[in-house]
Amino acid sequence: MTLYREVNEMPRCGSCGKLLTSGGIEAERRGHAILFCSEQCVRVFDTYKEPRYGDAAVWPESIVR
Amino acid sequence: MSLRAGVDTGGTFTDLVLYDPDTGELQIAKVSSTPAAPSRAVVDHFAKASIDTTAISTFVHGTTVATNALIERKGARVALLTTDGFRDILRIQRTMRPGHFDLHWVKPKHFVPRSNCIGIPERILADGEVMVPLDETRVREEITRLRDDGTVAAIAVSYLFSYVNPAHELLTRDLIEEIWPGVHVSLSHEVLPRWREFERTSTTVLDAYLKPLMRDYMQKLEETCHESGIGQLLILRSNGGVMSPAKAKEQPVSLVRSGPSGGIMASSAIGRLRGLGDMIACDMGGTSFEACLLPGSEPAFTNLEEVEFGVPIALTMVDARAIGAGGGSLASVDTAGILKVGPQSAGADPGPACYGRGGTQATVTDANVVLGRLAPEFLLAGDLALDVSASERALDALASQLGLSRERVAQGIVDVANGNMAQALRLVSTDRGYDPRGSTLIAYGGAGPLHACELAGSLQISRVLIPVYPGAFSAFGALLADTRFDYTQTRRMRMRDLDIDAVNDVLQGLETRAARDFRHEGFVEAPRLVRSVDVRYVGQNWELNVPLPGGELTDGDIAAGAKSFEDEHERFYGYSIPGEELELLTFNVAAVGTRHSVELPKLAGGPQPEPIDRRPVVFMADDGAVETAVYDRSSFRAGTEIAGPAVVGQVDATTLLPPGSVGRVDEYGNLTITV
Amino acid sequence: MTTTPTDKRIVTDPFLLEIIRNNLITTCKEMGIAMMRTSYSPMFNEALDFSCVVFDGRAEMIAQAPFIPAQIGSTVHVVPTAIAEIGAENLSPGDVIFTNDPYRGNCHLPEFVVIKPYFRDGEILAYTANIAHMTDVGGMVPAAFGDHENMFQEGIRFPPVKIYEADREVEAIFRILISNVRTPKASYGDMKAMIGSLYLAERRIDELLDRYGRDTYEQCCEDIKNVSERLMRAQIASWPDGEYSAEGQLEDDGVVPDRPWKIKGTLVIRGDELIVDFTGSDPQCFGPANQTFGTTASSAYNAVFHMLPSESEIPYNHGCYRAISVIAPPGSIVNVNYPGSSVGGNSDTHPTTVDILLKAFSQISERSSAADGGTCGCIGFGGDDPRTREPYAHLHLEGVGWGGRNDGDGNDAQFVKNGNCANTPIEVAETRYPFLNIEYQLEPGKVGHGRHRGGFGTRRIFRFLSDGVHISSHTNRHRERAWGLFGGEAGTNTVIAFRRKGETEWVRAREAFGTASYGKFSNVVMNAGDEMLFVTPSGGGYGNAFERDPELVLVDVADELLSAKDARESYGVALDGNTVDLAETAVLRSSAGGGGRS
Repeated sequence: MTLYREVNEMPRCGSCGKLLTSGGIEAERRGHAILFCSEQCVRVFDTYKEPRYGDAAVWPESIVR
Repeated sequence: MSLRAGVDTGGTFTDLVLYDPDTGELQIAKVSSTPAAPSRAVVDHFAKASIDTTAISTFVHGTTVATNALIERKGARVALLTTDGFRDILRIQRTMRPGHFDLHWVKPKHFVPRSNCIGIPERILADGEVMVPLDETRVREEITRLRDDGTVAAIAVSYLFSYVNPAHELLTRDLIEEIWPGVHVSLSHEVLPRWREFERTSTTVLDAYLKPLMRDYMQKLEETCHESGIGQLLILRSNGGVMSPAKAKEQPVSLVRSGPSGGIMASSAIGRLRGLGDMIACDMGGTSFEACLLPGSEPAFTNLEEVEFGVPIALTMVDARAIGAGGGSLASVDTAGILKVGPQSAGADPGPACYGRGGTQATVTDANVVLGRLAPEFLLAGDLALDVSASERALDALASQLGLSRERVAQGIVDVANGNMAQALRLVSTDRGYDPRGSTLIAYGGAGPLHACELAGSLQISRVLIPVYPGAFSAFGALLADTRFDYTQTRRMRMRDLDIDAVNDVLQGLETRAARDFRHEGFVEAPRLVRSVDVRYVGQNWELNVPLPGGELTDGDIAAGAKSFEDEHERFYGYSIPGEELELLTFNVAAVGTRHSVELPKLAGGPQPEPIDRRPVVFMADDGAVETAVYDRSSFRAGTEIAGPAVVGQVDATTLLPPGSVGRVDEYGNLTITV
Repeated sequence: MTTTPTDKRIVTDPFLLEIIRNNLITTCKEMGIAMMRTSYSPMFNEALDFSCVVFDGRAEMIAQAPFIPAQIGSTVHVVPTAIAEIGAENLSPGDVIFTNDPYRGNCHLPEFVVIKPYFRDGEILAYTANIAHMTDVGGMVPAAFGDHENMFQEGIRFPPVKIYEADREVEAIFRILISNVRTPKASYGDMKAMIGSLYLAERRIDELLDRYGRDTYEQCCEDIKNVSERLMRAQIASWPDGEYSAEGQLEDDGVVPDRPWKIKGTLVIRGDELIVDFTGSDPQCFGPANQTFGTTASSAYNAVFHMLPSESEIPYNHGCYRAISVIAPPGSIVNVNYPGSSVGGNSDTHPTTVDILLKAFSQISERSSAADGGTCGCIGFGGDDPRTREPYAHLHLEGVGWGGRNDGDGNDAQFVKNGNCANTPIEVAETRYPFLNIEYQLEPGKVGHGRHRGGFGTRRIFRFLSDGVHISSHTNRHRERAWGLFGGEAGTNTVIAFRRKGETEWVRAREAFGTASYGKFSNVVMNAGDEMLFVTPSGGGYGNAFERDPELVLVDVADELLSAKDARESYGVALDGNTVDLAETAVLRSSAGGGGRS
């Protein structure tokens, strides 16, 4: 049996904050590998979140590497 | 001789069908309604047509008066007596809204203002036990006050759990009769002996709301029949059956949707006769348009009907959608410059401009006249000749407002009306997941056959049926209706340790009542009894209806019923829970008395008819007028075939066949058009 | 600024598109009717607290019907998440997925979600799903609402699992579920009803595919979504570009006394795209008032859809959701982290969040409304029924007054915006449960005044017939009030109070039981003869009350909902018997400076 991973060990989408239990789109932003749930969220991050919040746009919960 | 008459009184027209069972002959007539004295129109017609009214043994009457009174809010002022502490039951309603994202929906005002909703100290519990006895002094005070105040004409009484223990409601009526004899009273346990207090109270209030008006109406009707020597008067009700005027006075709320149920019953009869399968029935009169789905030619019923969302009327009735769109619907231009048609109607008086009764505003009928679709030589409503120039003037007024040609505006009016009606057709078909394209559209009412083919086109229906007397079809349906009463008794019994004697007692009790009521209705033979019981799994909240056999029931019969329930549950809901305990909840007996059968007269064969005229008719304004054959329907025979474009006239309606369509007449005289 | 191109060509004939789309919507409605008729709990068969939805083969929603906004918005996230986690490639015909996990896109733990993949020729062409509020889920309190501090206290939690395999119950899952709830029989019956509705839906989809064929169906699914996306984007584009923020607060979280929690929402409108940014909201609270991600996304969609014009005919499906993006910082009150509690977030925080966004919308449109009462009125009752000796649990819900708006007063006694539940008829409730209703009517005199006033709330008194009734509650607006708009007044408060048998005074929870909150508490115990009062909050007013049409004030006075004194003081309207005294009214209104009361 595989080890059960609880949700607090799983990443969150870097734009919307949704829990990603599987899959996701990885993108390099501000020196981090960040996981996103969809292309839509990547775009929102690039066109709104990052210009607005700068470094604060990156949530630790969405960094995968 | 014993003629049978069927009558349908609408907002604009009153239709009449006379059937002679000896010769099989059907006579029809269409006269203008006389809203002030509804039966006047019929009696005047009998006189004019020299019909010997004493030869009429049965007179079946369908009416939209009750429905219209609810829609137009023209009923009586009602006071509601309810359990103290619960006076806002009509205002709270069910706390739901129809559109889950609608910020602007306005909760409807029910039919009794808050100041007339009176709480009476009394309280009965779920098992029938009295927790608070009825405060008779209080009842007396309130009734005295209402009586002296003089504005209220009817009282609805609805107490919690009255369907379990009606004692307080009955006592309240006694007290009312003591203080204010003659005021109309409706008790909730008599109107609808079922649980769910809001739905029951709402239905009871509507019954009280209609009582003074409908009692008056019935009274006048009875007097008229009596004076004319007419035999038995019967009233068509919302479940497609008929009842006596006495019963109609007792429970006027069952007359809501009375008129339309006639046409739907007649549609069902034709559908079954011709094996048409799925049908959509549509009835277009002077004021309103109704659509009903008949899957497999059987009408759909509902007991979840509402006057509008939030105002339920929980009796069993035919399931139809109505909108305000008819021949008399008024056309106007709103503040945004948009052409609107209906729901206001020119009614019977003054009626469309072309009726020459002083109407100047353009209606759908006027638009059809201008387009040449109505033939002036066919008389509507008996004595009416069409004043074409009046229609033209009415249309010109709109045309100058819109800056368009008269024909363009006329076409626009017809298109907008058709669009509204197509929407009603969609509500009963595609909105319920039915693909209408394999159905037959059966169109009737005075204006139905004129719009039927275009409506069919908008839903991609290819087969249209116009009955032999479309304008009087609802009246014809009234003739076909059986007497039908439904009896119901809630008596909760679990299947485990079932007392079969108790079951038989309940059923026998209901059937004894049925036999007695039918004797009072004038039947000599006993009615046909159809038994059923509402069953559910212990713990569920809604039941499935399961048929039961007649006679003395055995445990084996109940076991078979249980199996039926499980199979039905599986069929309906996709699963069952074998081994889970069942409970029987409500026992039902439907008592049906067929009065007479009506044989549809057959039409003989004959030569193909010749058009009586050819003239220009506009089908598409941009294409201009098309040379069109005009026929007299009475020249049609079994096997007649005509090709569109054509106008087919008869006394009670005009049928329009667009270019490319073909019509065939069957052995009963029905015209089936392939569009 | 780029958005996804919306010039996707619609291929299907428009008439056919409408037939198929309506067919799928009707399937959802039929699932709902089946749920109503076969379920055991009044939560389903009276309150109708469930939603049925259809997704296409890509796990994108293609049909919904007028059910519960909060649940529907959440299925947008929990359904694809559950499917992806199990893996569509691991699904077979006859499987049903089950989850209630609040962290995986669900709105809160009591919401059970079942999902059935529809197969044709070995491929998944659709998913039918049902999300329904289970009355009891085990946990600390019967009927699950109270002052929980973590998810473990809420009840039993299932991450996505298969509850059916090859059309047969996975017995282990059922055994675990049933043995951890207070109402095993009802819960079992309810689960069967939920799953049964999925089978019913599949029959309808079978008929649809038999009639039109797979290619037409699949093309239709794409077109259905694309049409809605196009319409939604056009609507968003009609609103002026910009950023519009608003804030509001919850009065407490049920655990820490007297500490409010702030929610901030910013509408970012850029061309045909809308972003709802909740950055700036407080960190997650200590009680169950947190929103999950699913709830927050749902509240954003809810606010946007409520702002659509009434005549708007945008069909709601995945296409609409494509145009709306949400930003919910993890660990904030709008995106609770494990193992934070969220059971009240879906029912009672969600309406405040929606109203905050509507407050933001009021900066660009008059068609927004003042806040509604802002609580579902969740009260849970549990105990042993003395008549049957069996345990019972019942969740009670109430309607509130809605906010006034530009075109009229708020509706009375209507369920809050995140739901669309019906009240349980008294005759049904008393037949089933051992308590009585002594009173249930409107609460007169208490409303948010305005040119268009808010709607009235209700007043209910329960009396208990047995000892040991455990009562829990998660409600709001005992201190905060539904705000008004454009000069309208705030609405009035919720009141929950208790009266022991023989007493005369009503006492609220903090005084009676020492709870941290007036509206959020668990397991206070009532005995036979004791009573409980529940007054629901009214809606906020819209516009200056001194500009209200005096005739409308007269109607309220004739209806005995306002007094003549209210008319004078709150509206500047003087009455003379049952007519308006126009002269005196003019004097009252001008002497107030024409500006009304603040």
